[in-house]
Amino acid sequence: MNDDLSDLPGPVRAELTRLRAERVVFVSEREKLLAQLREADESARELLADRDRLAAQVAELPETVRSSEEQTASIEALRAELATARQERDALRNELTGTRAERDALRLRLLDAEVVLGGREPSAPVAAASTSGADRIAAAEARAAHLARELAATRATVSWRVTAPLRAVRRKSR
Amino acid sequence: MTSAFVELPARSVGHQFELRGWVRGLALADVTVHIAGHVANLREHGDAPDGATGWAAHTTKPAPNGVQSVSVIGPAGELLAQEVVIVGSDEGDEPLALVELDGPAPDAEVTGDLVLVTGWAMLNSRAPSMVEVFVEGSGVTRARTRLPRPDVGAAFPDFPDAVVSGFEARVPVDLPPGTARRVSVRVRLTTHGAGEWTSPTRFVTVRNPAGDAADELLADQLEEQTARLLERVSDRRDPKHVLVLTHSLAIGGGQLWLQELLTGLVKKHDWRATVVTPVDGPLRDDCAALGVPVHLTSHYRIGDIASYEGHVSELALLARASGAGVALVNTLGAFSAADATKRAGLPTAWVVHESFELPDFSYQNWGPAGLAPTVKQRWERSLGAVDRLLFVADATREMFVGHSTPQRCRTIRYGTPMVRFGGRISEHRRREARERLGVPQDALLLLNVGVVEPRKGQAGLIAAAERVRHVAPGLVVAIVGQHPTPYGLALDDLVERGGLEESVRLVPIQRDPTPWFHAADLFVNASDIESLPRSILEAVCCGLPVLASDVFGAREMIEDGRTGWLFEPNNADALTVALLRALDTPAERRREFADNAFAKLSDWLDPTGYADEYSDVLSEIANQGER
Repeated sequence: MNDDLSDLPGPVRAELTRLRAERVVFVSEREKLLAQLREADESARELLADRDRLAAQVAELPETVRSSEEQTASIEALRAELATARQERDALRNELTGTRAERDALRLRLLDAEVVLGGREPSAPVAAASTSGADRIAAAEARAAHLARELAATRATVSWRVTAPLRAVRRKSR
Repeated sequence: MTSAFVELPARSVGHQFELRGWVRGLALADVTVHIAGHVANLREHGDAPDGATGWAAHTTKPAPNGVQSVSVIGPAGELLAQEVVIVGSDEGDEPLALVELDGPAPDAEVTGDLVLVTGWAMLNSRAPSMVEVFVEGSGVTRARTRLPRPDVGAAFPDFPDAVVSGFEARVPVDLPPGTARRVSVRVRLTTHGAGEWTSPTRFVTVRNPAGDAADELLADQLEEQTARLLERVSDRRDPKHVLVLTHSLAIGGGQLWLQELLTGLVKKHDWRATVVTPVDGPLRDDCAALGVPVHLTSHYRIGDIASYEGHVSELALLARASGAGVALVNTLGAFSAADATKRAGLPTAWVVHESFELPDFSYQNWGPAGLAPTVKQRWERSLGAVDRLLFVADATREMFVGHSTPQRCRTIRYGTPMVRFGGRISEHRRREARERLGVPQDALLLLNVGVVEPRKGQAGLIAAAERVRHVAPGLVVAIVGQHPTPYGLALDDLVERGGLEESVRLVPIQRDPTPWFHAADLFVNASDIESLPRSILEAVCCGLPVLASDVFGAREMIEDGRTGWLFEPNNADALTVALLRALDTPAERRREFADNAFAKLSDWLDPTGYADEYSDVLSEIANQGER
C-alpha cells in the first residue's frame, strides 16, 4: 500500500488519514469483539454443559429424593428398633429382677433350714433375742414351768379350797 | 411369807405392752418389775387372789422382738418371780412395724419436679431389707435404706438397727413447668422371714414452677455483656494446651481419675495443662510435681442467674486469657465451667461420671428448691453445646445422649495402675498384708473400699454379712473409707450396738488401700448408683472375686455367674443371697471367676490407655476449630 500522501490534495489527505486512524480503531474493536465472542461462545458452551448437567440432575432428583427419604425412613426405623430393643431390654431386666427375687427367697429359706438344722437362729434379721428355734423351745419350757407354778398357786387359794367338794363330785361322776 | 406372780399373755405382744400379776406379803411400793432389762411403770391393779396385791406393769422402753425377760424384784433385790414374754407377731399376723413417714406431709405442696419421700422404719425390730415407694404416675422406686437416724437410735436403745433405720427415695415426676398435679404416695417394707407392711396412702400436690421472664431477660443481657468483654481479650491459642476445670482436688475417685489422666497427658503426650478448681486438696501437690499450674477459684455459683452469669463470665475470661487451645471439664456439676469455656470459644470436652438424671442430681446437690429455671436451662444448653460428652460407662452415655447427639457422645473407660498386679496376688504377699493389717490368717475377709456414704450401702453390707455368719463363722468385713460424717458415725454406732467389733472393721480413708486388696478374699460393691467403680477395677487387678450391685457400669464390668455375682441394689435380702452364692462357690471356682474378670477387663485396665484416647479426643476437637 502506498503511504505517501504528499501528492494528494490537502483535504483528501486529511480525510484519508482520519479514515486510516478509524480503521485502526475498528480493527482493534473487531479483535476485542471477536475475543468477547469467543468468550461468549465458551460461556454458552459451559452454560449448555451446566444445563445438560442440571437437566441430568433434575432427571436424577426423584431418585435422590427417594434415596434421602429412604435414608430418613431407615434412620427412623432404626430409632424405632432401638427404642423397641431398649423396651425389651427393660422388660427383660424387670423379669430378671422378678426371677432373682424368687431365687433369693428360695435361697434364704434354704439358709433358714440349714441354720435351724444346725440348732441356730434363722437368717431373718431379728433383734438380739430371737423368737425362733432354740429360744422358742426355751420360751415354751419357761411357759410350762410358769403354768405349773400358776396351778400350784391357784390350788393354794381360798377359792380352790372352797370348790374342792365340787371337783370331787365331778371326778366321781365321770 | 412373800411371793409374787406374773400373768403371762396368751399371745405374743407388741413392742410396748402391759403385764399383770400380784404380790403377797409385800407392799407394792417395795416391789419393782423389770421388763426386757428396764424398770417398768408399776401401778396397783385390783384383780388379785385373797391377801395379795394386784399390779399392772407397763414397759418404759420399747422392747425388741424376741423372748424378753420379766422379773419381779423385792425390796432387798431378791428375785420374787421370773418369767419370759414373747415380743413379736403370731402366725398369720402382720410383722411388727415401727414406721414414720417424715415427708412429704399429707396434703403438702411440693415445689419442683421431684418428690422426696423420707422416713424411718423397722420391721420386726430391724431395718427392713427393702423399702419401695409408690408415687402415682412414677412407677415403683426402691428407696435408699439404712440411712443414719440418731434420733431413732436414742428412742429405741435396744434396737441395734435403729441408728440406721432411715430411708429416702427421690422420685422424679413428669410435670412440665407451670403445671401441678395431685399424686398419691405410699411405702411398702419387706424383709424375708418377717413379711411385708404397706403404709396408708397419702396425697400431695406437686407444682413445677414456670420460668421467670425477668430472669430470662437479665440472663440474656448478662450473657451479651460477657461476650463484649471477651472481645477485648486477645485469642491466642496453643492447641496442645488443655485447660482442665474440675470440681475438687481433694481425694476421691473422680479426682484420682483426673490425676492419672493428667499424668498420662503431660508425660506421655506432651500436653501443657492448667487446672482450675474451686476446692483445693492434696492433689495440688501432684499437679505441681507434673508442672501443672493450679488456679483456685470460688465455688460454682448457681443460686441465681446473676451470680451464675458473673462467675461464668469470670471463668470465660480466664479461659480466653489462659492461652489454652482446648478445655476439659470434669464432672456433671461443673456445668458453669463448660458454659464458660464454650463462651470463651474453646473446643470443650466434658466428662460426666455421674449416672443421675438431672432432676435427681439437682435435688441431691442443690436441695428441694434446686436450680433457678434459667440456670437449669444453661445447664441443659451446655450439655448440648460442648464438642464432646465423655462417659465412663455406656449406661451413663445412654442416659445423657438425649441432651446431645450420638456423634458427640463417647464412652472412654478408665484403668488403674494396679493392673501391674496382673490379676493375682501371691500367697506370701497375702499373708504379709494380713499380718501388717492385723487380720487373722484364717479369716474370710470381705472387703469394701470407698468413702463411706449412704449411696455405697455399707450398712446393708454389715447386715447381710451378719446374716450369713452362721454358715461362715470366720467372716470378717473390712470397710475401708470410714470418716466422721453422720453416716460414718451411724456405722460406728451400729457396730457397737450389735456387738460386731470383732467381725466388722471400719478403717479410715486410705490414700493407698492396696494392702487391703492384697489381704482380702472377696470384694463387695454395694452401691445403689455407680458409673464405673474404680474399686472394682482394683479388686479385679488384685485377683479378688467381686460381688456387685447390678447398677449402671457395674453390670458392664461383672457378668453374673461367670466373672462375679450381681445382686439387686438397695435390698439387703439380695445382698445376703449374693454372699451365700459366693460362699457356696468352691475356692477353685472363685479363682476362675477372678481370672475371667481380669481377662474380660484387661483391654481397658491399663491407665495409659485412656490417656491415649483422651489425647486423641482433645487433639481432634482442638484442631477442628471452634464450632
